[in-house]
Amino acid sequence: MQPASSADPYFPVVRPPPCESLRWQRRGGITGPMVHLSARTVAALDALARVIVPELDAADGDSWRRFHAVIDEALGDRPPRLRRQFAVFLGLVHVLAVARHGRPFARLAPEQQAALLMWLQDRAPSLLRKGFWGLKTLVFMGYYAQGEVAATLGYAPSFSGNERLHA
Amino acid sequence: MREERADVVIIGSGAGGGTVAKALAPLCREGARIVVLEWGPRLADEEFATPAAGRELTMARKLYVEAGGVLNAERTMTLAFGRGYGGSTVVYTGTSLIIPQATLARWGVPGLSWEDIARRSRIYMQENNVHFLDEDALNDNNTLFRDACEKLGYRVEQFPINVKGCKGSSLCNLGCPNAAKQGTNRVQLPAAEREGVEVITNCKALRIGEREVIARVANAPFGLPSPWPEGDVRVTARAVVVAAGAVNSPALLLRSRLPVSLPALGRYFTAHPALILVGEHERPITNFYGHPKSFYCDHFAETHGFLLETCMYFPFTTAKNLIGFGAEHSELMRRMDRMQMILVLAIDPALAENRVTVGPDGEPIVHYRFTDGVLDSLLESMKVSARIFFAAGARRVHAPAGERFFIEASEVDRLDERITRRRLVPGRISISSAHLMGGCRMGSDRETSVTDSWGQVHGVPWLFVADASLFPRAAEINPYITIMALADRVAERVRAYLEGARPS
Repeated sequence: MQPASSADPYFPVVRPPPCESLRWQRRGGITGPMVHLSARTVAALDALARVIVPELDAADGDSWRRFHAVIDEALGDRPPRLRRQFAVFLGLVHVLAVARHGRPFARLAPEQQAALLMWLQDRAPSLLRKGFWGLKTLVFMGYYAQGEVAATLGYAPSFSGNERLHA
Repeated sequence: MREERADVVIIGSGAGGGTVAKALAPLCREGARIVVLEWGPRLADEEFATPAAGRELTMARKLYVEAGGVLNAERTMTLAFGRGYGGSTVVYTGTSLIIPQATLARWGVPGLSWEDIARRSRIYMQENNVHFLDEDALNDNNTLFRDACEKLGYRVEQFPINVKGCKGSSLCNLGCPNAAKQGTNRVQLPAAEREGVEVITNCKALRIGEREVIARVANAPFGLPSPWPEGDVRVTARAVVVAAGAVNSPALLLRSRLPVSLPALGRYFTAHPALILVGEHERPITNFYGHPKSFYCDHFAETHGFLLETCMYFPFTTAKNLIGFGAEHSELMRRMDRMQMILVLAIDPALAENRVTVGPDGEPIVHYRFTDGVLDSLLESMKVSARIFFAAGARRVHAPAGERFFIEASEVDRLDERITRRRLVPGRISISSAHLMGGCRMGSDRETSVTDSWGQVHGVPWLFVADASLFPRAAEINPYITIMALADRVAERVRAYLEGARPS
């Protein structure tokens, strides 16, 4: 059987090496919590995620492991090109923070972090804006798709919802 | 390569393919072999019973192409469509409407009458147990919308839906866990199989040749295995019916070497671009209990080009549709039990430049740009939705094009300042589509259409299309029943063709 498109999660896909190609990502030199992002890139992701979903600041190790696992799986479903673009975008946020404030994103004051992300969301050039939308989507997926989070949201679905309509 | 011979090959098992399969099934009694090739797997019933909390991603990966996150080429719209035994009928909410006469008139397809479409639509509505839910089966999310629309003088109607034994899980879009939704996986396909139609799952059509389909069987890591062994297979047939949906039907025809030139193939793609708005109430309301989609408002369809529908989504889907992040976003998300939701859908024009193409790998690429008219419709729809929320008693509203994350009830008279075009920027807001239409449009002019009014491809008499890609323009309503009605017509033409064609 010929190998099918690597973009299709249904077909067996050989997982690529964990680190992406950008040199600055390799400086970390240690294995991280995700297969598809280097440890350094994961650190950048986590710093952004804490601002996007403040609950992650107080999350325990299990919650973070689930967060990373969900995003890792989603990245694994995407072609290598998109994974690279995502890693590049995370790097660009780092560069923007340094260019604007002289410090990496993780070391900015909370209001500076929020302002930078708000700029990315509302006023950045189209490519960056879409990149931020993609980042938010992945972060929200990593957090809100966890079943363990549902109760904290007041979300308690039931297969027999009609029984609870007039309870 | 394995070889199989059939009389009819149907590609796709959703609203279109499932309907054709059942309509042609009586031919099996006369010795015909009818085969349905379905790309995705058939899920066992117990797979639909994945626990409710946390099932969002699990079921999305099993039931949707790319887990419901296909992006257009411009990365400004998310396309959600199903894959598997039953296609998108497994994942939609089951609302079943007959296409309005005015809409069909706008379609302007010679030989296509509303009376005929309405008649066929009613057949399938009856077959699928389409009916109105009783009042006591309606939740607050729905009745608040209805009552507010009535208070504001907006025309509001109840959706008839195709369910039998609905228990109100509100999980329709993740596959009904109670086997209540009457999609083709519950009605048409089993009926067709009882008559001898073979449904070959995990089988992707790669390309179409002269009266043949080259396909590949590869079992998904979930669901039931394909009845055929894995590997490539050539299926020769007297007639081929393509019903792979508005993204994959044009793509399949584009990567196949058809013997005719079809300039309109892939073009005139429409999508009913949609947004979600959320109103927050002071107290918990019933929203994720009960059927999620009971009412719609078409009051502004003719004047402003949009529809409003009730809806209720899941945590991740809700989170990604709120435009913002941080404390305010989290604050609203923690109140899912107080959320009232409205889905707004713009009625988009059919433009030649909005189209499906194929990449070097033969996979579809959807090129879609929003017109100013569509953005204007979405903008106005958000203001109307906000008025509905406040009339329903919501304390504040989140609108994707809001100047701030929340719009307070006290600002109801200042919506023009609070919801603005400058915030309605593709790529910033989450626009999605689950109504994918066009790409193989019907018509009489071979320059601007792909099939005639019976779904027969121009110049290729053995090749038919039977899904929403036939739509020459947007349906302006949920397209499901219209797809079935058109597919029923296509089946009739296929039968006539087989009876008139020479044996192969």
